[in-house]
Amino acid sequence: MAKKGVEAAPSILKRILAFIADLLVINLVVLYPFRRLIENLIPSGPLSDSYNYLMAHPGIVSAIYSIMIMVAILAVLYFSLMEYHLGQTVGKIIFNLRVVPLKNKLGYWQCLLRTLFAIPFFPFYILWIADPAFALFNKDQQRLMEWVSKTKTVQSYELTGWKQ
Amino acid sequence: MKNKWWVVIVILAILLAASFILAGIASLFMPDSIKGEGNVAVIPIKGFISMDSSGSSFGIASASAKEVVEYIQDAASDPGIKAIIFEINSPGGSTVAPEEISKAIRKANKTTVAVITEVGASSAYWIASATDRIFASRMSLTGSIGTIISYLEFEGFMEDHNITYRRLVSGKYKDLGSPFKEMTSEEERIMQDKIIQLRDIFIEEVAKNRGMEIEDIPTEAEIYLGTEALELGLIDELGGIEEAKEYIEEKLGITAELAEYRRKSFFGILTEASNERNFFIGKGIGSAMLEAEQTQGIMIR
Repeated sequence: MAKKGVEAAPSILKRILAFIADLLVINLVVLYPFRRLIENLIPSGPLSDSYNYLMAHPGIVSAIYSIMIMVAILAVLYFSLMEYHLGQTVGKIIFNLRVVPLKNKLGYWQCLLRTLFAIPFFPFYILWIADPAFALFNKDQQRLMEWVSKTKTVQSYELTGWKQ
Repeated sequence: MKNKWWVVIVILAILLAASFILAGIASLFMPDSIKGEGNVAVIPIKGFISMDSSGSSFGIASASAKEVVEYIQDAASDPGIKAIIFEINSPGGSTVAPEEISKAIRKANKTTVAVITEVGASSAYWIASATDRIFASRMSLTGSIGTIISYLEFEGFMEDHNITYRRLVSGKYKDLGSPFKEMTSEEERIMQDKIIQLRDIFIEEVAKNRGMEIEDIPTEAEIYLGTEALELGLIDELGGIEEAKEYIEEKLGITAELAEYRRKSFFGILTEASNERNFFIGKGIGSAMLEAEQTQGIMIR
Protein backbone atom coordinates (compact mmCIF):
# COMPACT_ATOMS: atom_id res chain seq x y z
CA MET A 1 0.00 0.00 0.00
CA ALA A 2 1.41 3.37 -0.93
CA LYS A 3 2.02 5.96 1.84
CA LYS A 4 2.12 9.74 1.55
CA GLY A 5 2.75 12.40 4.23
CA VAL A 6 1.04 15.78 4.39
CA GLU A 7 1.71 18.67 6.76
CA ALA A 8 -0.92 20.73 8.53
CA ALA A 9 -1.24 23.00 11.54
CA PRO A 10 -1.27 20.90 14.73
CA SER A 11 -3.85 21.17 17.45
CA ILE A 12 -3.10 23.55 20.33
CA LEU A 13 -3.41 20.63 22.77
CA LYS A 14 -0.66 18.70 21.00
CA ARG A 15 1.63 21.71 21.05
CA ILE A 16 1.01 22.22 24.78
CA LEU A 17 1.67 18.53 25.50
CA ALA A 18 4.87 18.62 23.41
CA PHE A 19 6.00 21.72 25.34
CA ILE A 20 5.30 19.98 28.68
CA ALA A 21 7.36 16.98 27.50
CA ASP A 22 10.22 19.36 26.63
CA LEU A 23 9.97 20.97 30.08
CA LEU A 24 10.31 17.51 31.64
CA VAL A 25 13.43 16.84 29.54
CA ILE A 26 14.89 20.23 30.56
CA ASN A 27 14.07 19.49 34.19
CA LEU A 28 15.90 16.15 33.93
CA VAL A 29 18.92 17.19 31.88
CA VAL A 30 19.50 20.90 32.48
CA LEU A 31 18.04 21.60 35.91
CA TYR A 32 19.22 18.43 37.70
CA PRO A 33 22.85 19.53 38.35
CA PHE A 34 21.63 22.87 39.74
CA ARG A 35 19.03 21.35 42.05
CA ARG A 36 21.38 20.78 44.98
CA LEU A 37 22.66 24.36 44.78
CA ILE A 38 19.13 25.77 44.79
CA GLU A 39 18.03 23.51 47.68
CA ASN A 40 20.94 24.80 49.74
CA LEU A 41 20.00 28.40 49.05
CA ILE A 42 16.25 28.32 49.67
CA PRO A 43 15.06 27.18 53.12
CA SER A 44 12.31 24.60 53.40
CA GLY A 45 9.05 25.69 55.05
CA PRO A 46 5.97 27.75 54.21
CA LEU A 47 6.21 29.95 51.09
CA SER A 48 5.72 33.18 53.05
CA ASP A 49 8.60 32.31 55.40
CA SER A 50 10.87 31.47 52.44
CA TYR A 51 9.89 34.79 50.85
CA ASN A 52 10.78 36.69 54.04
CA TYR A 53 14.08 34.81 54.25
CA LEU A 54 15.00 35.72 50.67
CA MET A 55 14.02 39.34 51.21
CA ALA A 56 16.43 39.46 54.15
CA HIS A 57 19.27 37.98 52.06
CA PRO A 58 19.76 39.92 48.80
CA GLY A 59 23.00 38.00 48.13
CA ILE A 60 21.04 34.74 47.92
CA VAL A 61 18.46 36.32 45.60
CA SER A 62 21.29 37.38 43.26
CA ALA A 63 22.73 33.86 43.38
CA ILE A 64 19.34 32.33 42.51
CA TYR A 65 18.95 34.81 39.66
CA SER A 66 22.39 33.85 38.30
CA ILE A 67 21.36 30.18 38.34
CA MET A 68 18.12 31.06 36.52
CA ILE A 69 20.11 32.81 33.78
CA MET A 70 22.38 29.76 33.32
CA VAL A 71 19.41 27.40 33.17
CA ALA A 72 17.67 29.71 30.67
CA ILE A 73 20.75 29.78 28.40
CA LEU A 74 20.90 25.98 28.45
CA ALA A 75 17.15 25.75 27.76
CA VAL A 76 17.54 28.10 24.77
CA LEU A 77 20.38 25.88 23.54
CA TYR A 78 18.21 22.76 23.96
CA PHE A 79 15.38 24.14 21.80
CA SER A 80 17.56 25.83 19.19
CA LEU A 81 20.07 22.98 18.70
CA MET A 82 17.36 20.33 18.49
CA GLU A 83 15.24 22.31 16.08
CA TYR A 84 18.22 23.30 13.94
CA HIS A 85 19.58 19.75 13.61
CA LEU A 86 16.34 17.76 13.56
CA GLY A 87 13.55 20.28 13.07
CA GLN A 88 12.15 18.70 16.26
CA THR A 89 12.64 18.65 20.03
CA VAL A 90 11.99 15.52 22.11
CA GLY A 91 8.43 16.73 22.76
CA LYS A 92 7.87 17.38 19.08
CA ILE A 93 9.24 13.93 18.16
CA ILE A 94 6.79 12.28 20.58
CA PHE A 95 3.82 14.23 19.19
CA ASN A 96 4.98 14.11 15.59
CA LEU A 97 5.41 17.86 15.23
CA ARG A 98 8.04 19.61 13.14
CA VAL A 99 9.45 23.11 12.71
CA VAL A 100 9.60 24.25 9.10
CA PRO A 101 10.82 27.52 7.57
CA LEU A 102 8.39 29.56 5.51
CA LYS A 103 11.11 30.04 2.87
CA ASN A 104 14.41 28.33 2.03
CA LYS A 105 16.32 26.27 4.59
CA LEU A 106 15.95 26.50 8.37
CA GLY A 107 18.83 28.63 9.74
CA TYR A 108 20.29 28.56 13.26
CA TRP A 109 19.39 32.20 13.89
CA GLN A 110 15.77 31.42 13.07
CA CYS A 111 15.86 28.60 15.62
CA LEU A 112 17.45 30.89 18.20
CA LEU A 113 14.90 33.64 17.59
CA ARG A 114 12.01 31.17 18.10
CA THR A 115 13.34 30.30 21.57
CA LEU A 116 13.87 33.76 23.08
CA PHE A 117 10.79 33.32 25.27
CA ALA A 118 12.94 31.20 27.63
CA ILE A 119 15.10 34.14 28.73
CA PRO A 120 14.01 35.50 32.15
CA PHE A 121 14.92 39.15 31.42
CA PHE A 122 12.83 42.17 30.56
CA PRO A 123 11.50 42.43 27.84
CA PHE A 124 11.67 38.73 27.01
CA TYR A 125 9.30 37.61 29.77
CA ILE A 126 6.55 39.60 28.06
CA LEU A 127 6.74 36.77 25.53
CA TRP A 128 5.45 34.27 28.11
CA ILE A 129 2.00 35.81 27.47
CA ALA A 130 2.37 37.52 24.10
CA ASP A 131 4.03 34.59 22.31
CA PRO A 132 1.29 31.94 22.76
CA ALA A 133 -1.50 34.55 22.69
CA PHE A 134 -0.40 35.56 19.18
CA ALA A 135 -1.05 31.98 17.97
CA LEU A 136 -4.73 32.30 18.85
CA PHE A 137 -5.18 35.07 16.28
CA ASN A 138 -2.85 33.81 13.56
CA LYS A 139 -4.29 31.72 10.73
CA ASP A 140 -1.26 29.36 10.71
CA GLN A 141 -1.31 29.21 14.52
CA GLN A 142 2.17 30.73 14.62
CA ARG A 143 3.53 31.95 17.93
CA LEU A 144 4.77 35.56 17.91
CA MET A 145 8.44 34.50 17.70
CA GLU A 146 7.61 31.96 15.01
CA TRP A 147 6.06 34.76 12.99
CA VAL A 148 9.13 36.96 13.59
CA SER A 149 11.56 34.16 12.68
CA LYS A 150 9.51 33.19 9.63
CA THR A 151 8.98 29.62 10.78
CA LYS A 152 6.00 27.55 11.80
CA THR A 153 5.24 24.31 13.58
CA VAL A 154 3.42 21.64 11.57
CA GLN A 155 2.17 18.14 12.16
CA SER A 156 2.99 15.36 9.69
CA TYR A 157 0.00 13.20 8.78
CA GLU A 158 0.57 9.90 7.03
CA LEU A 159 -2.04 9.06 4.43
CA THR A 160 -2.32 5.36 3.74
CA GLY A 161 -3.80 3.91 0.54
CA TRP A 162 -3.04 7.05 -1.37
CA LYS A 163 -2.25 6.57 -5.07
CA GLN A 164 -0.67 9.00 -7.42
CA MET B 1 15.10 7.26 12.43
CA LYS B 2 17.95 5.59 14.33
CA ASN B 3 20.22 8.44 13.30
CA LYS B 4 17.72 10.98 14.69
CA TRP B 5 17.82 9.45 18.19
CA TRP B 6 21.63 9.50 18.10
CA VAL B 7 21.51 13.26 17.45
CA VAL B 8 19.06 13.64 20.37
CA ILE B 9 21.34 11.65 22.69
CA VAL B 10 24.46 13.61 21.65
CA ILE B 11 22.74 17.01 22.16
CA LEU B 12 21.29 15.98 25.53
CA ALA B 13 24.69 14.60 26.64
CA ILE B 14 26.39 17.88 25.68
CA LEU B 15 23.76 19.88 27.56
CA LEU B 16 24.04 17.64 30.63
CA ALA B 17 27.84 18.04 30.65
CA ALA B 18 27.48 21.82 30.20
CA SER B 19 24.97 21.91 33.11
CA PHE B 20 27.36 20.07 35.42
CA ILE B 21 30.25 22.37 34.45
CA LEU B 22 28.14 25.54 34.92
CA ALA B 23 26.74 24.25 38.24
CA GLY B 24 30.32 23.58 39.39
CA ILE B 25 31.43 27.06 38.40
CA ALA B 26 28.31 28.57 40.02
CA SER B 27 29.02 26.77 43.31
CA LEU B 28 32.36 28.64 43.52
CA PHE B 29 30.55 31.95 43.61
CA MET B 30 27.59 31.03 45.79
CA PRO B 31 27.23 32.71 49.21
CA ASP B 32 29.58 31.02 51.66
CA SER B 33 27.25 30.15 54.48
CA ILE B 34 25.84 27.08 52.85
CA LYS B 35 24.37 24.97 55.62
CA GLY B 36 23.81 21.28 55.79
CA GLU B 37 20.34 19.76 55.95
CA GLY B 38 18.61 19.71 59.32
CA ASN B 39 16.46 21.67 61.73
CA VAL B 40 19.07 22.49 64.38
CA ALA B 41 21.89 24.83 63.35
CA VAL B 42 25.33 23.99 64.74
CA ILE B 43 27.59 27.04 64.78
CA PRO B 44 31.21 26.38 65.71
CA ILE B 45 33.16 28.90 67.82
CA LYS B 46 36.71 27.64 67.83
CA GLY B 47 40.02 29.25 68.72
CA PHE B 48 40.76 32.89 69.43
CA ILE B 49 37.65 35.07 69.07
CA SER B 50 38.05 38.42 67.34
CA MET B 51 35.83 40.74 65.33
CA ASP B 52 37.13 39.98 61.84
CA SER B 53 39.65 37.19 61.33
CA SER B 54 38.42 33.62 61.01
CA GLY B 55 39.38 30.18 59.78
CA SER B 56 42.78 28.85 60.68
CA SER B 57 46.17 30.45 60.25
CA PHE B 58 49.26 28.33 60.67
CA GLY B 59 47.07 25.58 62.08
CA ILE B 60 45.69 27.76 64.89
CA ALA B 61 41.91 28.14 64.62
CA SER B 62 40.22 31.48 65.14
CA ALA B 63 36.60 32.62 65.11
CA SER B 64 35.30 35.85 63.62
CA ALA B 65 32.44 37.53 65.49
CA LYS B 66 31.27 39.03 62.20
CA GLU B 67 30.97 35.58 60.66
CA VAL B 68 29.34 34.03 63.75
CA VAL B 69 26.79 36.87 63.90
CA GLU B 70 26.07 36.33 60.19
CA TYR B 71 25.44 32.61 60.83
CA ILE B 72 23.18 33.39 63.79
CA GLN B 73 21.12 35.86 61.73
CA ASP B 74 20.96 33.34 58.90
CA ALA B 75 19.70 30.58 61.21
CA ALA B 76 17.31 32.97 62.98
CA SER B 77 15.62 33.98 59.73
CA ASP B 78 15.42 30.40 58.44
CA PRO B 79 11.96 28.98 59.26
CA GLY B 80 13.34 25.44 58.94
CA ILE B 81 15.77 25.99 61.83
CA LYS B 82 14.16 25.45 65.22
CA ALA B 83 17.17 25.75 67.53
CA ILE B 84 20.83 26.75 67.51
CA ILE B 85 23.72 24.89 69.14
CA PHE B 86 27.03 26.71 69.66
CA GLU B 87 29.89 24.25 69.65
CA ILE B 88 32.52 26.07 71.71
CA ASN B 89 36.21 25.24 71.97
CA SER B 90 37.90 28.55 72.65
CA PRO B 91 40.14 30.11 75.32
CA GLY B 92 38.58 33.55 74.72
CA GLY B 93 39.41 36.57 72.66
CA SER B 94 38.89 40.29 72.25
CA THR B 95 36.49 42.42 74.31
CA VAL B 96 33.94 43.56 71.73
CA ALA B 97 33.46 40.25 69.90
CA PRO B 98 31.60 38.39 72.72
CA GLU B 99 29.24 41.30 73.23
CA GLU B 100 28.33 41.38 69.52
CA ILE B 101 27.76 37.61 69.44
CA SER B 102 25.74 37.67 72.69
CA LYS B 103 23.48 40.41 71.33
CA ALA B 104 22.85 38.36 68.18
CA ILE B 105 22.05 35.27 70.31
CA ARG B 106 19.49 37.20 72.36
CA LYS B 107 17.89 38.62 69.21
CA ALA B 108 17.71 35.20 67.53
CA ASN B 109 14.38 34.30 69.15
CA LYS B 110 15.12 30.56 68.90
CA THR B 111 16.13 27.98 71.49
CA THR B 112 19.90 28.35 71.94
CA VAL B 113 22.29 25.90 73.55
CA ALA B 114 26.03 26.12 74.19
CA VAL B 115 28.15 22.99 74.20
CA ILE B 116 31.63 23.54 75.64
CA THR B 117 33.86 20.77 74.34
CA GLU B 118 37.45 21.17 75.59
CA VAL B 119 37.73 24.83 76.60
CA GLY B 120 35.07 27.50 76.91
CA ALA B 121 36.81 30.14 78.95
CA SER B 122 36.63 33.89 79.36
CA SER B 123 34.90 35.60 76.38
CA ALA B 124 33.92 32.16 75.05
CA TYR B 125 32.14 31.61 78.38
CA TRP B 126 30.51 35.06 78.05
CA ILE B 127 29.05 33.89 74.72
CA ALA B 128 27.92 30.58 76.25
CA SER B 129 26.21 32.44 79.11
CA ALA B 130 23.96 34.23 76.59
CA THR B 131 22.36 30.93 75.51
CA ASP B 132 19.35 29.23 77.15
CA ARG B 133 21.36 26.25 78.40
CA ILE B 134 25.05 25.40 78.79
CA PHE B 135 26.43 21.87 78.49
CA ALA B 136 30.05 20.97 79.21
CA SER B 137 32.02 17.80 79.66
CA ARG B 138 33.08 17.05 83.24
CA MET B 139 36.66 17.59 82.05
CA SER B 140 36.01 20.77 80.06
CA LEU B 141 37.78 23.92 81.19
CA THR B 142 35.53 26.91 81.67
CA GLY B 143 35.18 30.10 83.69
CA SER B 144 38.19 32.45 83.68
CA ILE B 145 35.83 35.41 84.03
CA GLY B 146 38.26 38.28 83.81
CA THR B 147 40.34 40.49 81.54
CA ILE B 148 44.01 40.71 80.71
CA ILE B 149 46.37 43.17 79.07
CA SER B 150 49.82 41.72 78.58
CA TYR B 151 52.76 42.50 76.39
CA LEU B 152 56.52 42.03 76.27
CA GLU B 153 58.60 44.94 77.49
CA PHE B 154 61.86 45.44 75.60
CA GLU B 155 63.34 48.40 77.45
CA GLY B 156 66.13 46.41 79.13
CA PHE B 157 66.94 44.54 75.93
CA MET B 158 67.13 47.79 73.96
CA GLU B 159 69.36 49.36 76.60
CA ASP B 160 71.70 46.36 76.48
CA HIS B 161 71.97 46.76 72.72
CA ASN B 162 72.37 50.51 72.86
CA ILE B 163 69.03 51.21 71.13
CA THR B 164 67.23 54.40 72.13
CA TYR B 165 63.46 54.88 72.17
CA ARG B 166 62.85 58.37 70.81
CA ARG B 167 59.58 59.57 72.36
CA LEU B 168 57.60 62.27 70.52
CA VAL B 169 54.00 62.42 71.78
CA SER B 170 51.16 64.94 71.82
CA GLY B 171 50.06 63.91 75.32
CA LYS B 172 51.71 62.03 78.15
CA TYR B 173 49.50 58.94 77.80
CA LYS B 174 49.75 58.67 74.01
CA ASP B 175 52.29 55.84 74.12
CA LEU B 176 50.74 54.14 77.13
CA GLY B 177 51.47 50.44 76.80
CA SER B 178 54.40 50.89 74.44
CA PRO B 179 56.71 47.87 74.77
CA PHE B 180 59.78 50.09 74.23
CA LYS B 181 59.65 51.87 77.61
CA GLU B 182 59.07 50.89 81.20
CA MET B 183 55.52 51.47 82.37
CA THR B 184 55.20 54.17 85.05
CA SER B 185 53.12 53.54 88.19
CA GLU B 186 50.56 56.08 86.96
CA GLU B 187 50.25 54.30 83.63
CA GLU B 188 49.94 50.99 85.41
CA ARG B 189 47.12 52.39 87.54
CA ILE B 190 45.26 53.58 84.42
CA MET B 191 45.64 50.23 82.70
CA GLN B 192 44.62 48.33 85.82
CA ASP B 193 41.57 50.57 86.16
CA LYS B 194 40.49 49.73 82.57
CA ILE B 195 40.94 46.03 83.26
CA ILE B 196 38.76 46.22 86.37
CA GLN B 197 36.07 48.22 84.50
CA LEU B 198 36.01 45.64 81.73
CA ARG B 199 35.91 42.78 84.24
CA ASP B 200 32.94 44.41 85.97
CA ILE B 201 31.05 44.70 82.67
CA PHE B 202 31.90 41.05 81.97
CA ILE B 203 30.61 39.93 85.39
CA GLU B 204 27.44 42.02 85.06
CA GLU B 205 26.70 40.49 81.66
CA VAL B 206 27.29 36.92 82.86
CA ALA B 207 25.13 37.51 85.96
CA LYS B 208 22.34 38.99 83.83
CA ASN B 209 22.53 36.18 81.27
CA ARG B 210 22.60 33.41 83.88
CA GLY B 211 20.05 35.02 86.20
CA MET B 212 22.60 35.00 89.04
CA GLU B 213 23.58 37.55 91.66
CA ILE B 214 26.75 39.52 90.83
CA GLU B 215 28.23 38.37 94.17
CA ASP B 216 27.86 34.74 93.07
CA ILE B 217 30.07 35.20 90.01
CA PRO B 218 33.73 34.31 90.69
CA THR B 219 35.88 37.42 90.32
CA GLU B 220 39.38 35.96 90.46
CA ALA B 221 39.34 34.69 86.85
CA GLU B 222 39.83 31.12 87.95
CA ILE B 223 39.27 28.29 85.48
CA TYR B 224 36.96 25.45 86.49
CA LEU B 225 36.43 21.88 85.41
CA GLY B 226 32.96 21.04 84.13
CA THR B 227 32.02 19.41 87.44
CA GLU B 228 33.13 22.47 89.44
CA ALA B 229 31.35 24.84 87.04
CA LEU B 230 28.14 22.85 87.53
CA GLU B 231 28.38 23.24 91.31
CA LEU B 232 28.94 27.00 90.94
CA GLY B 233 25.98 27.31 88.58
CA LEU B 234 28.14 28.46 85.67
CA ILE B 235 26.82 25.60 83.50
CA ASP B 236 23.49 23.76 83.52
CA GLU B 237 24.36 20.16 82.68
CA LEU B 238 27.27 17.83 82.05
CA GLY B 239 27.25 16.51 78.50
CA GLY B 240 28.02 17.18 74.87
CA ILE B 241 26.25 17.49 71.53
CA GLU B 242 24.10 14.37 72.09
CA GLU B 243 22.78 15.65 75.42
CA ALA B 244 22.14 19.07 73.85
CA LYS B 245 20.21 17.36 71.06
CA GLU B 246 18.10 15.44 73.58
CA TYR B 247 17.40 18.67 75.50
CA ILE B 248 16.18 20.39 72.31
CA GLU B 249 14.05 17.38 71.31
CA GLU B 250 12.43 17.30 74.73
CA LYS B 251 11.89 21.06 74.92
CA LEU B 252 10.54 21.58 71.39
CA GLY B 253 9.01 18.14 70.79
CA ILE B 254 10.91 17.65 67.53
CA THR B 255 13.37 15.15 66.11
CA ALA B 256 16.57 17.17 65.99
CA GLU B 257 18.69 16.89 62.87
CA LEU B 258 21.92 18.86 62.96
CA ALA B 259 22.77 21.32 60.18
CA GLU B 260 26.38 22.44 60.32
CA TYR B 261 26.97 26.10 59.58
CA ARG B 262 30.44 26.58 58.22
CA ARG B 263 32.14 27.72 55.07
CA LYS B 264 32.04 24.97 52.49
CA SER B 265 32.97 26.81 49.33
CA PHE B 266 35.55 25.37 46.98
CA PHE B 267 37.96 28.16 47.87
CA GLY B 268 37.31 27.57 51.56
CA ILE B 269 38.24 23.90 51.23
CA LEU B 270 41.36 24.84 49.26
CA THR B 271 42.36 27.43 51.88
CA GLU B 272 41.83 24.95 54.69
CA ALA B 273 43.98 22.37 52.91
CA SER B 274 46.71 24.89 52.20
CA ASN B 275 46.60 26.19 55.78
CA GLU B 276 47.12 22.68 57.11
CA ARG B 277 50.14 22.35 54.86
CA ASN B 278 51.42 25.73 56.02
CA PHE B 279 51.08 24.50 59.58
CA PHE B 280 53.55 21.71 59.05
CA ILE B 281 55.93 23.91 57.05
CA GLY B 282 56.04 26.92 59.31
CA LYS B 283 54.62 25.74 62.63
CA GLY B 284 57.30 27.31 64.81
CA ILE B 285 57.49 30.62 62.99
CA GLY B 286 53.73 30.89 62.69
CA SER B 287 53.02 30.20 66.34
CA ALA B 288 55.59 32.73 67.45
CA MET B 289 54.16 35.39 65.13
CA LEU B 290 50.61 34.74 66.26
CA GLU B 291 51.44 34.76 69.94
CA ALA B 292 53.25 38.07 69.55
CA GLU B 293 50.26 39.51 67.70
CA GLN B 294 47.72 38.26 70.21
CA THR B 295 49.53 39.71 73.22
CA GLN B 296 48.81 43.20 71.88
CA GLY B 297 45.59 44.93 72.93
CA ILE B 298 42.98 44.14 75.55
CA MET B 299 41.77 40.58 75.70
CA ILE B 300 39.34 38.57 77.68
CA ARG B 301 41.04 35.26 78.08
